[in-house]
Amino acid sequence: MISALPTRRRLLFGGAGVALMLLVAYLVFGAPAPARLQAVEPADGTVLIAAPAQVALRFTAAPQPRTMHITVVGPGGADVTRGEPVVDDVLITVPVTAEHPGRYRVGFHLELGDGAPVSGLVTFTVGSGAQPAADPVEAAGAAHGGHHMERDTSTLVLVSIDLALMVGVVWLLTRRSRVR
Amino acid sequence: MSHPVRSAPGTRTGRPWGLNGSHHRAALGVFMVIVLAHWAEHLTQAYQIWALGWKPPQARGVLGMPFPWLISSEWLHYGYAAVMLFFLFLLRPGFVGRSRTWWTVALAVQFWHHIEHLLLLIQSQSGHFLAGRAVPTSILQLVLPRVELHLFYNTVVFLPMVIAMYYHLRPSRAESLDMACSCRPLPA
Repeated sequence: MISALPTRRRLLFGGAGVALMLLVAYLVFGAPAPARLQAVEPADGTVLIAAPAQVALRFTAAPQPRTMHITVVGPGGADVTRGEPVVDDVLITVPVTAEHPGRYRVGFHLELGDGAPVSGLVTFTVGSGAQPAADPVEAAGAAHGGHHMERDTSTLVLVSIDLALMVGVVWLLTRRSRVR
Repeated sequence: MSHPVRSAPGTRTGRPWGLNGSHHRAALGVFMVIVLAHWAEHLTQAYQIWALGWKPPQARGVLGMPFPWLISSEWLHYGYAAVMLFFLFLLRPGFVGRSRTWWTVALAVQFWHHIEHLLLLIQSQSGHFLAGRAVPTSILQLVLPRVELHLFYNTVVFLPMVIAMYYHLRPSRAESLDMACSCRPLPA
């Protein structure tokens, strides 16, 4: 009876540990993660100096679309896509002729291999008032919440607290232990 | 009435290699090197944002500059959370008294932090996101959408850790008598 609790606890911890290992093993060796849209290139709202040769949809893994339609319409309303979309690893690209300055609209609709639909409408501008195109990492990062450090007061407060704590740890570790 | 937590000399801690005995100070030092290296990365990011004026997505610390995918890697964040949890659990028996209480607080918070990262990892791998969101989302972000998750959780774990280390390396006389590890102060 005395040893029942520790045995039960050991079983509980053991079971939780095995379940965690199985879950991690499944995530590592199990079914590959399904492809999901990560970014559209050029990104929505981008102003480009030079006309892009293609429009691309970037996925988190190689997509295997059952159907795919991408249409790019120029400032005059004309379809500027030149050819069919092509799957190239994690990209689906379509060549375009966007040589006239102005606003271009990209509309796309796909059905992925697992049946998930992907659709959207983004715009980019070529020409006047042009600024450098968005950094692809920045464009991708915008779709990823939670891990990027932001320029706001709460982050600054947290960083300041952490800096003070770091100094405290270094001070503690470089001094000999003593009784207070 | 408080009950002192004791780890008398010769007590079996269930941890190998004298990690909570003759090598506790060294093991704590190794753990702190890992923790401080992680914080150094974040301080570099903060320096890039506030001192150099870089845009947040471009401020990727030291390792994130040559390897930008590291910043958004759920595996990396989960891995670090797991390493923290491992060390907090491994080194806990060496702490006594108030330091043990604070170390346990850090362990409990880190356990939840690790669960949050596991949720994020599962979402990123499965492509199914919490509450219909467009990106992997933690439980905390459902309540506080704008919180910088990684920084927040690591701070609320680091704070009790540092308090625990202060009490551990600056124990009271009664606590020092209960200590069985190499952090125990030498008699004056």
